[in-house]
Amino acid sequence: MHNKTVLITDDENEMREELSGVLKDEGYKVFEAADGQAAMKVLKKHKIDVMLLDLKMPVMTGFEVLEELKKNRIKVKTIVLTGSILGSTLPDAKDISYTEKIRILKFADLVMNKPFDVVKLLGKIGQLAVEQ
Amino acid sequence: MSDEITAGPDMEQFVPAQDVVYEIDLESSIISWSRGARELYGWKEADALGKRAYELFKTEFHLKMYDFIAETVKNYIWTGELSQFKRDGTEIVVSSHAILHRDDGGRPIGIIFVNTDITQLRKTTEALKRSEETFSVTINSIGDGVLATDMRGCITILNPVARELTGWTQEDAFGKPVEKIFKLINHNSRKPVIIPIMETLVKGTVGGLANNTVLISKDGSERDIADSCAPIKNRKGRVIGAVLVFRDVTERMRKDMALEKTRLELAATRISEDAAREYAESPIDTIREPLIALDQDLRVVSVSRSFYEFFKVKPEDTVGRLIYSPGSKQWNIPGLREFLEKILNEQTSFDNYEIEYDFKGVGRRIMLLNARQIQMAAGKERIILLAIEDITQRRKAEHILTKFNRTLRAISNTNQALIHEENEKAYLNNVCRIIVRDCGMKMAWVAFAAAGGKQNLLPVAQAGYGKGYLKWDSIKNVEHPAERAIKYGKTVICGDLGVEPGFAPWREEALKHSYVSMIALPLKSKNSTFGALVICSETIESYPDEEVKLLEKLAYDMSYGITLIRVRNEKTAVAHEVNKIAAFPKLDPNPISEIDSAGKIHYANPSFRRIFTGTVTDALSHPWFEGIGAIFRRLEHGRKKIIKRDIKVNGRYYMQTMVYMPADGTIRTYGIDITKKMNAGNEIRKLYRQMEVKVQQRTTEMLASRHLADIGTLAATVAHELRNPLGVINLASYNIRKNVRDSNVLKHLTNIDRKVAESGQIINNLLVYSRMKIPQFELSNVHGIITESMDNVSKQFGSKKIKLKGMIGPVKNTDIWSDPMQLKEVLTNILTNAYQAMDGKRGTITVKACLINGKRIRISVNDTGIGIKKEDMSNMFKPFFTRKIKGTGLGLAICRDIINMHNGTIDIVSKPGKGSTFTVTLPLRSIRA
Repeated sequence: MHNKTVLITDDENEMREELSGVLKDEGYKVFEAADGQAAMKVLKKHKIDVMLLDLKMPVMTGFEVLEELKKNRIKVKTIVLTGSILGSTLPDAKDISYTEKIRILKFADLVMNKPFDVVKLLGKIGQLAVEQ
Repeated sequence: MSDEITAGPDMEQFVPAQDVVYEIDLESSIISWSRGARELYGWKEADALGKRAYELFKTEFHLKMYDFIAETVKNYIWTGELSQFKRDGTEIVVSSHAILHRDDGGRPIGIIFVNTDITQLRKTTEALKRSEETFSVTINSIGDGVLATDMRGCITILNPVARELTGWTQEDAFGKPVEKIFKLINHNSRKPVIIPIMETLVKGTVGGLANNTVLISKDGSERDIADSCAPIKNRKGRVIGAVLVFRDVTERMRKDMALEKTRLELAATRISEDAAREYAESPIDTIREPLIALDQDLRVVSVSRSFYEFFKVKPEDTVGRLIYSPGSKQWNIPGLREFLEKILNEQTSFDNYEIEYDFKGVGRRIMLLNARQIQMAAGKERIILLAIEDITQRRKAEHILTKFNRTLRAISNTNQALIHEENEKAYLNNVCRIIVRDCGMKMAWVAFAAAGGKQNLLPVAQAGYGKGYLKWDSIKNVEHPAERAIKYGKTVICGDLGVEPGFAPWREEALKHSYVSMIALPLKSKNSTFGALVICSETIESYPDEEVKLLEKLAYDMSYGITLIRVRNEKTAVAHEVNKIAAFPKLDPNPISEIDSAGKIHYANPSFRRIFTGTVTDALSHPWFEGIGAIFRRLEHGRKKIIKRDIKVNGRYYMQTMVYMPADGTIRTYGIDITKKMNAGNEIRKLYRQMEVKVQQRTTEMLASRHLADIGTLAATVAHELRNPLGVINLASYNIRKNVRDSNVLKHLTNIDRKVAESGQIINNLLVYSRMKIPQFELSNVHGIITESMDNVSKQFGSKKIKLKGMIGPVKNTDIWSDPMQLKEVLTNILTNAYQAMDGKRGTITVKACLINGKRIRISVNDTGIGIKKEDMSNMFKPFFTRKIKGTGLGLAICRDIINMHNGTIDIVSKPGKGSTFTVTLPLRSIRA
């Protein structure tokens, strides 16, 4: 058994549940957050090894989270899980430019497209958790 | 740090190798050295740099070097010839243009020399000059008149005698047709005589004039001349002109006549001598001179025969009469009797007693008397023998000769005076003084014709008169001799002012000043008489023609002198003005130049030379004169024309004004530096272009979004939204699989996983189309793009049956403004289609690329596959149209949109069963960034 922690940040309940199920089976201690702000709270309270991060979220987007992490020098491994990285899919005014997105995405340790290969994802999480 | 022009590289750039260019600093040290200089002088750059120029060239110049530098610094430019020595010791002459080199602050930093070796030219010129000199010395020394003409019969040379005889100066005659200078008429018929020069020129023969030819000189005077004419030939024997030698035979003819007269006279003399012999008893009679013998009472005893002849008296009226008797009248000369009596009393003789007396029947004569007292053999009786010699003519001749000499001296001195005198008035006064002094005249004065007013004459210079004499007003209806001289342009002679009828108003005053005779000579310029030279003598003068001519010559010289001084002054004034005006372009900060069609720069102001260092030769290839050859060709022989244009030279913009000067066949250029203005303009243009790009991008964007609005936006949204649930389904399947061991359930889960993966693929295709970006234009090699796409696709298919052929050599070095990623996507799509069209069969795919007019590129992909049915053709580019079982039908739609956004076209030509050809045409620069 290990005591590595993973934070799942996704506004989709089903996604959090299914991911949580997979990770718990693998022995991770799992935290969940439905938006960026909630995730930031979790990060302040708990020591998180790996954070799984969706980009399109209400209240605080994944990009904003990445910037906050960088700004506050919060040390956590991040894997971005997204349906679309660059697509102009954010309906509100918060959408930012292409280059800005690329700049911010570079703060993440890994970007994976949904739907993703679960085994591959677990491998990456394990790897990053050890590095953390 | 000022932007110093390093002369070396700049020179190399502008000046072709053969030009000899070097620069010295203000200390005369060589600071740059062109290839041409190395070739001419034989010194390498390393040898020359740092050396003093005068040391290197072994010139005497160094003594003046600092003066020279100072002068060049002052005037910006110096042009001249220099004698220099090459490294091997040979002396050369160079034509040198030195140009002040200044930094941007205007501080002189050096002097650039642009030299041309003219040694050979100089040698040739000197040889030519020598031969010309020899020729002209020869011609000038000939006592005959010589004139030479060119092939057209126009005057090239008039020697001094010819000038004298024709009345033309070399300067005025030069280039004029010979007939105009050399007017001939027949002495008797007075009809024009043809000058044999034309015949000589045409036939190359020696010719001569008919006899009795009269030359009419410029002033209308006539001279009998004899002449001969010969061709001038060049070395090859070709006639290049003619020379006409002629002489004034008026004198000869006169002499001939005189000779005839003398001969006749001699004959007559002989006859009289024969007659004389009959009176041989008297020795007196044999004496040629009139001789008279007087007794002590001064009574005529005997008279020679010649006496009678001379005095035209008869023996009966003479012999036995008193010599001074009132009856004879002849010899009633005051003082003669006293002299004769003195001889008698003192028993002496006298020699050469000169008397001037108006002899009855003979006229006024000057006689030289020689008297001897002779003791007659008889004893006491004494006789006075009086020999009378008429020296009237001799005296006259002597007088004239003296006057001649004096006048000649005056002429000479007048001409001397001209050399030194710059002031007209001083010159005139000087000449008057010379006339009074040299010609022994009482007074001389010069008057100019005055226009209007009370006076017709305006005295301007004088010498030798009592004050106040020259003050007068014009007198109605009576013209002063000077006025007449001016009015008619002819010499007016008043031999005796005491009796001159027209001189009454001035007579009293003139005689009061002892002015007894007067000659008024007109002073003429080329076209008019502008004044008169008046010479007064205190004696009654006869003014023979020859003297009048000499005086006229003097007046002519004086006129010439006045003209010359005026011209000189005018020239000085003009030169001064020119210098003044010339200073303006010199000071002009903008480049000014004048160039001919051969590229020779006739003028370049310092700014021009400073801005375009080293452009003295081969100017036509300089950017400043770009296109000027064509302008010359267009304007040649046309009128004066002004052309303006903007031109970029050495990174700066100039508004160039070109003025074509038809008279000189040159174009003057004037440039105004408008770089700042242009840069501002360019900035605006740049912004405008950027705006244009933005507009175009915006348009493209709008175009793109319109397509996206069709399906793209929807697809993207759908795709993204689908991915999340798919992801969840995927995870859910994973979680179920972990807890289920039932093979049936596992089989269903596998189906779910498969379909999730397939959905993902569909979503991917949708997203490619929806994600389609605005092209990110950059310049990239089109050859590379094609090659890369071909490699990718052939690797992907890895089929050995299908041969992929590239014929893209023509675009090997072609760059295209495009989004290379998108172009690759297009090509990959088309190539994939082609592979799929082969349907697993053997075949060839050929990729061709070529340029159209250098502006567009055409890429075609040809396959030998199944082809496209006619009914499908129109749907080929529609989204979601597909002929494949698997496929989104988005591939070609994407291609079309990308190509559209690149301002290109895409076409398909196909024959079902034979194959298809996809052709993409793209501009090399669709958008200028």
